[in-house]
Amino acid sequence: MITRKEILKSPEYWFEEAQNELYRQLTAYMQREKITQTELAEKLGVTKGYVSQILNGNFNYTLKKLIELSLSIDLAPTINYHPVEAIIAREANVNSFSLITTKTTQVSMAASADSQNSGEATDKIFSIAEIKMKVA
Amino acid sequence: MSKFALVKVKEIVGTISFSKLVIDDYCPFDEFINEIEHQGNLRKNLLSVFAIMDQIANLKFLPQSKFKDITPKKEAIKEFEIKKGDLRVYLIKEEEHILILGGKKNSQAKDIHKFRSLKQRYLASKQSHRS
Repeated sequence: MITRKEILKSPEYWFEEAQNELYRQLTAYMQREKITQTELAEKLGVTKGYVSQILNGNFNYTLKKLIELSLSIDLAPTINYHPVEAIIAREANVNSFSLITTKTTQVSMAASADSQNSGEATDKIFSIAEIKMKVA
Repeated sequence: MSKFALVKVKEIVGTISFSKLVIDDYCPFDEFINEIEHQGNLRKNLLSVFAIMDQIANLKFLPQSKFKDITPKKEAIKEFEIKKGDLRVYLIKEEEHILILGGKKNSQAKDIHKFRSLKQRYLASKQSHRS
């Protein structure tokens, strides 16, 4: 089965993101400027077929072309680099936050129910609180 | 009567969640994933499908060539098709996105027929549950 980690580490994920973002930017530009695909092709200095390909979310030309197209619609395409493991970890932390909160409640209840073992339970609460701070 | 259930798709993270339809412990969407993974040659397309679903979940616009409204006229619950290469995934939209099934381009007509039939059965079971 495909995992979230595998998805985030796949070139396909980031490629779809880049292709569709260019589609979104060009569509927004056409709406803003109230121009047709043909007029956009003239503006970008490319053929109608080329524009249609991009608007189908299939841009796969050179990096230079991507930069040229972006600048033609008055946008600078800035590319940011993030460690992929950090992205995976950030998502995992967001998802586990509610789980940790639930666990804290359960341990607190166990601690008040059995005073004999309260020391051990308090340790658990303490360690969970530590994790919670890291998450926050 | 068949029992219908929805199971959250954890692999998709976004504002609007995705679930998959399960009918009496049988999940057509999982069957599709397993089949594609088993065959191996369309795995990259499958990853792209997940990427597209992620963008849908995050309310991002997509080209019609990748995400298309295929709702017939007068149909209240919207139907959509995700397309990547030879792969197709069929879903409906309620409070969340519900993945019904997936298939290949060559079985498109048959798959859409099965998709609409499952959709109607699922909606009917929800209705009978309420009354």
